[in-house]
Amino acid sequence: MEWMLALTSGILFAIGVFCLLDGHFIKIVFGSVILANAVNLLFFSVGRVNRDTPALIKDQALHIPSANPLSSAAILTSIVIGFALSAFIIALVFRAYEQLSSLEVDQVVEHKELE
Amino acid sequence: MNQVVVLPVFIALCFALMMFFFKKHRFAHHIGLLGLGAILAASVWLLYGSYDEGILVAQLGGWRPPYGISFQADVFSSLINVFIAILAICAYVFSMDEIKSYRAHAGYYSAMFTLYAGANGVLFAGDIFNMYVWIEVLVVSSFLLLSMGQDKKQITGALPYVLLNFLGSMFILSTIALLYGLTGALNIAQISIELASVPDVATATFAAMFIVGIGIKSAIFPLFFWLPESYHRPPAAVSAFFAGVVTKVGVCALFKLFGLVFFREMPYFKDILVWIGILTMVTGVLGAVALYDIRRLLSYHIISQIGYMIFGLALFGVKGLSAAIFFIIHNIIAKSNLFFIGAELKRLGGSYNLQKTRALYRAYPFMSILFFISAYSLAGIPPLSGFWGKLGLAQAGIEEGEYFGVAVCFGVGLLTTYSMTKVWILGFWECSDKTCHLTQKYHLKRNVPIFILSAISLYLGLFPTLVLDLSTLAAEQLLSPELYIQKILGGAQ
Repeated sequence: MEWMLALTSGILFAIGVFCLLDGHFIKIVFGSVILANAVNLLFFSVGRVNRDTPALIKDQALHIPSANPLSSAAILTSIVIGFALSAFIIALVFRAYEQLSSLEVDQVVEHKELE
Repeated sequence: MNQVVVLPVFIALCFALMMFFFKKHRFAHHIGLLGLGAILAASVWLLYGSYDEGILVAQLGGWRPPYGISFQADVFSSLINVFIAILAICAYVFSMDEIKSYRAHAGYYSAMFTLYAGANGVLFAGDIFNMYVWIEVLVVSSFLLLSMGQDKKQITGALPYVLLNFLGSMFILSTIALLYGLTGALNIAQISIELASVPDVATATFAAMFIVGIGIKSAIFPLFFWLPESYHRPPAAVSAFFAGVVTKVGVCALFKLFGLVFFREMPYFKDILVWIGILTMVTGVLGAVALYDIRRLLSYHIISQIGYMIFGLALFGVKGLSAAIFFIIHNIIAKSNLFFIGAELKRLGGSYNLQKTRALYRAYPFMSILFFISAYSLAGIPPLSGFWGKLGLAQAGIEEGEYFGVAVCFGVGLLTTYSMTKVWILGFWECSDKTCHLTQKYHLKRNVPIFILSAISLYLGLFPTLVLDLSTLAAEQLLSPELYIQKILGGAQ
């Protein structure tokens, strides 16, 4: 099970980085969202993926192989943070579009050089 | 006593909320000053406590370590925190004059408080995931402060800043995920124990990923390009606060992680860090030498000073680390002060550009002297504060046999002196055709912070013993991870 998640996460990383390297801000936004999810999936897969046993602590429950709840809890936090960051990036790109009426990275750079 | 550790961050978050709800009230920002005073008092108390009793540990929610989140204050983090709190007060007072109401209504003061809370959390977090969360709090507040306002330039400056910091965050988070997968722990002390049995290759990879992630946030050599593009765009109070807090806290996190977690990998990383330090110093100062806009020039100096800190970390002995810690403190004070004075140069002299501004010395001798103190302590001229940091670094470097690094330190110091002299001559010293006339008065809210910071800078230079002793103690604590492990996990084992 873990190898599938690892593979998916790896592919998502590749797609995310590829999109981040693009010269268009919409692609960069998508890249950043995908990258955030790739990291979440990575975090998920390190906490032992296991579908039979819930991670409830009973007597001697520690000896039964169960999924680790802590990584899921950590992912919840990082999903929220990633979501907030993505929202902020989208808002910022929108503002840049309003002001420069372009979404090309090169245009923003040119605008900067004109100052 | 131990629960005091969470007090500064708690006060800061409470006031952030309060400032947000009462942001349109006329006296709201005066009340915020009260909160910062309380934070400073709590920080000093913490410093005294950690000096007196050793490392203080607070377990949040009553969970036993290593399962619960722990906050721990050692001398290192409390010392840095005290100076950050002082800077926060100064930046706050400065912004009471500089910040126009539309920014205040957009939540400017709340963002200042959350920025402080984030910095404080990074310094005190004893849990690595918690540290990541605080880094995000810090970084998101800095995004807000940077992009707040209707200025076109701010948006184009904020975009690379936000995207690169996002990338850095993802690096840090994936490292934490992998570390957790390998050690099964998030508590820094627990990770430090577990890593002893992990193969070096894996640990070295994690350390390298941390260097990249935190390096993006604290602008080390190949990753600093966002900094000079963005730091000079927001109002001066924000730039000054950023200069003193955001990048420095990243360096502090690096110090803490290398001191406590990755200390076994130091032999691998020594050369790499030395070179990163040298290249950061040189590229930063070369950028500064070429520029005439005082804010951009100072932004490049931030990068160059980060190089000294990384160099101190690379030496990794009590001497090198304590000198680097002293250097961080000196930098928090002096560099931010220069940003404030840069804003005054614009207000009194007419421009940020040194070639266009009128020279201030005849009309404003007092302000010029304050600039002189900060600028030359940044350059490291003997009785001023930068000198002691650089002296310590040079001594430690010679002891460790890093002669080339020490030579570069001196060379960069000379270039810094050159660049500061350029500012002094063009911006302050008299030239017949562009002397400034006394048109505007000194302004209380703008000049008191500058005066306080210059006084501290002078104090650090003339009476460095107290802070030097404290930073030596801090370095000793950072280099003895057993002490941490014993303090944090002592009850659990």
